[in-house]
Formats: sequence, structure tokens, C-alpha cells
Amino acid sequence: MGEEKDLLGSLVLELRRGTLILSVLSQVQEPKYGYALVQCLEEKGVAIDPNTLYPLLRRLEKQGLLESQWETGGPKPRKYYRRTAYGNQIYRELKSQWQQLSASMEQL
Amino acid sequence: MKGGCVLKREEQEWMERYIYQVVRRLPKRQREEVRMELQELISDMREQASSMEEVLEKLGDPAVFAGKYRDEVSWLIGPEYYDTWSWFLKVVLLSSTILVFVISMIRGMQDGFARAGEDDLLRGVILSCVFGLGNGITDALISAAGCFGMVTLVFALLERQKIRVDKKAGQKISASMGQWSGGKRTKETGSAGHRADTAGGWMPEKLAPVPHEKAVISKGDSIAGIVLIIIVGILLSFAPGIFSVVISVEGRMEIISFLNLEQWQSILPIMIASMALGLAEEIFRLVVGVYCRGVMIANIVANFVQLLLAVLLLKALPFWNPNFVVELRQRIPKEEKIGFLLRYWNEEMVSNGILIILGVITVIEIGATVYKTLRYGKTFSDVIS
Repeated sequence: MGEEKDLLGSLVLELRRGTLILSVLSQVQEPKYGYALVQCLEEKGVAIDPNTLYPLLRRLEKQGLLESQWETGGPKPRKYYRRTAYGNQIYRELKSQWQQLSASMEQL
Repeated sequence: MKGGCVLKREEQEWMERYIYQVVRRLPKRQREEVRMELQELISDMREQASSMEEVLEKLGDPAVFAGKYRDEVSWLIGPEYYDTWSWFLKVVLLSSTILVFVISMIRGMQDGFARAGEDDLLRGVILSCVFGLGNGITDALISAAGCFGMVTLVFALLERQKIRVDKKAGQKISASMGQWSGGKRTKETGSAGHRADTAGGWMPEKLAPVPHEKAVISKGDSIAGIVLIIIVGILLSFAPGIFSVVISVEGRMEIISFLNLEQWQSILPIMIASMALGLAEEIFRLVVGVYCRGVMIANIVANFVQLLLAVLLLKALPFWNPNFVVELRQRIPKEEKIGFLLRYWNEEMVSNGILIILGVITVIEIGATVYKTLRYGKTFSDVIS
């Protein structure tokens, strides 16, 4: 029984992994800082571990999809991420791919 | 609510510890930035949690966290080369450690007997056992470590080389995919997808044909070569003394070496380099696994360089014991016993003889490789090179 649960767990994880980038991109049209992003996604039912999100944000920035800026005005420095123009373009493409994919899945 | 909570000193301490454990595993240029990010994250999470412990538990093992920040390869030998590497290592380690152990043990035992003196047999036996085992085990361990390092280094270099090639191919593919996704409607996926394949780094036409049975380089082919290199290398580095004449003078054993052992430290490195080159070539041909232009070129280059090194050793360096004949004459006044050796020993001639034999072997080896490549492996040349 336990094994079955493990297998299911890892399969679900595998399934979600591909959707994470799309989820993250969807939330950063306006600048957001890391933990706000975690909460924001959680509220919408997309759970993401901070130790997955932070490296992912960095990678997306390196790929030119996001840009970041440190805000030092508040009580503590915060790093805000937002989509770049290239990020917007990729996000739209990715979203339409997703819609197509989920439509195909519906038919199965 | 946000930003209002000030961390207690103890909690601050735990946070710093956690961050340090993540950051120390990252490249230097990333550390400061990640440290600030994590400070922000952990203090944010602390506001929602009941304790610092809970926050850190949720973040998980700092080593795992740091691992997610790194995107480069984190293995030395990947799955593709692992089998060949472990097989190769077994052959090399087994042949080298056994041989080194035996040679060093014998030398240690001789040493032990010599120290004990001739009268005390028991002391001699004990000392020879101690010295023999000590020497044998130490040298076997040293040679095992050396062989492991050498073999692993070559495989690791091959692994890195492959990754560089893969990355280039990957970039080409993703670039063409990007072009396609930018310009096409989703409805056209089928045909556009096909185009992406053909425009990218890979296409079905590039599939290498299944190799001819005789073009496949098997492990069996290499094993003799590897073991031979190891044996010669070890004999030359651990027991150059065996290349000598043993004669008995008035009941005592006298050893006169053919080789110039006084200059050995300048000769040995060249021989080791030559053998390392041979081993590297064996590894390369095993990893590629099939006769092709790359293997052929590597074979020609390695053999040629080895031959050049042999010429350097035998013709330019003081390879032979210059006093061989003199020493032999001094020990044995009666010439008739070893007259044969004395009459025919001639450095020039022996060097030339060895070079001719090496030359013939080289020609045969290169010839065989070239023949197999052209005859059976031809179709691969354009794929792999």
C-alpha cells in the first residue's frame, strides 16, 4: 500500500513539474517577490516549495524570461521579479500550448 | 503584518546557519545574491509559521536546496560511460595491484632478510614477512590509487567533452524550435514539427547504420592491450632491476642491469607518458565502440607519438647501462662462460633491433585499424567526426 502511495506521489510530482513554469510565469506580469509568489500560487491551489521556486526564478531570469530588481525602500530588502517582453511572448505561446494539451487530454 | 516581525537573536543564528550551509555549496559569484534572497524568504516564512524550526524544516536539507541552484552537471562519470569505466577500472586495478603486490613483496622480503643478517634465520623470516607484507600492501595501494586516478581522469574528460558537444546540438535544436513557435499557428503543429526536426541538430538521415559485426570494438579486443601496458609499466617503474643478468660469483648472486638505472628518473617519466597515452587511446576506442575515422586518427597519432618517444629514449637518452660490458668483465674474468653475451652486446644494435620490432608492431596495428575502418566502419566516418 505504501509503495503504491509513493509511486502515485512521484507520478503526480512528475505531472506537476511541467506546469510549474507556466504557473510562475502567469503570476509575474506585475512585480512580485518570492514568498508572495508562493502564497499567491498556494491560494490558487498550486503548491510549490520555496526550495523549488527560488532556483526556478533564477533560472528563468538567466533565460531572459524574467527580470529582477531589489527594492530597498521597505523595512527589509526585497527582490521583485517580473516578466520581460520576451517572457510575455513565451508565456503566451506556452499558455496556448497548455490549452491545446488540456483540450486533447479532455478527449481521452 | 508584513515586515513587522523582528527575529529573535537565536532565530537569527539558526537562519544564518541554514543560509551558510546552502551558500557555501554555490559558486562564489552567486553567494551574496542568494544569501540576500534567502534572508528575505526565511524571514517572510517565519511570519507565517510558529517557529524558525518549522520554517527550516519546510525548506528541507540545505544540500538539496543548493543542488537545485546548480544547473551544471554534477557527476564525474555519467550513466553513458559508467559501464565501460567500471569494467576498465576492474581490469586495470586487478592486473596492476596483483603485480605490484607480488613485486614489492619480494623486494621487501629480500630487504628483510638482508637486514637480519645471515646467522639469525628466525629473525630473517620474521623481518622478511613484515617487510614483504608492508611493502606489498603499501605499494599496491599507491598503484591502485594512481591507476584509479588516471583511468577516471580520462573518462571524466571524455564525459565533459561529450557534454560540450551535446550542448551545442541542443542549442541548435532549441533555436530552431523557437523560430518555429514564434512564427507558426498551433494548428500547423504536425508539419511545422517535422520542419523543426529537419532544421535542428538531428534528423533521421543522420542515424548511423547498425555497425558491421567486424567493425564493433569489443572489450575482449582491448583487454590484452590494457593488461600488457599495465604489466610493462609496473615492471619498469617498480622493478626495473629485473631487466638484468644474474650471475653467481664465488657463490654470491651478482646482478648487472641492462638499463641505465642511475639515469632512471629521467627515463621512466617518458616511458610512463608513452604508456599513459596508450591507455588513453584504449579508453577512447572502447568508449566510441566502433571503428571510425576518429578511432583511426587517434590510433595513428598515439602509435606515432609512442614510436617517436621510443626513438627519443633509445637514440637520444642514456637508456642502456653504459658500463654493462665493463661490469660484466670485472665480475667474471673467465670469458668463455658468458662469451656469447659479451661478444654480441652492442647498444646500437639492440636499440635498432627494438626500434625495428616496435616499428613493425606499429605498422601492423595502424594497418589493422585502418583496414577495419575503411573496410567495415567507413559509413561511420562522417557521423562521428
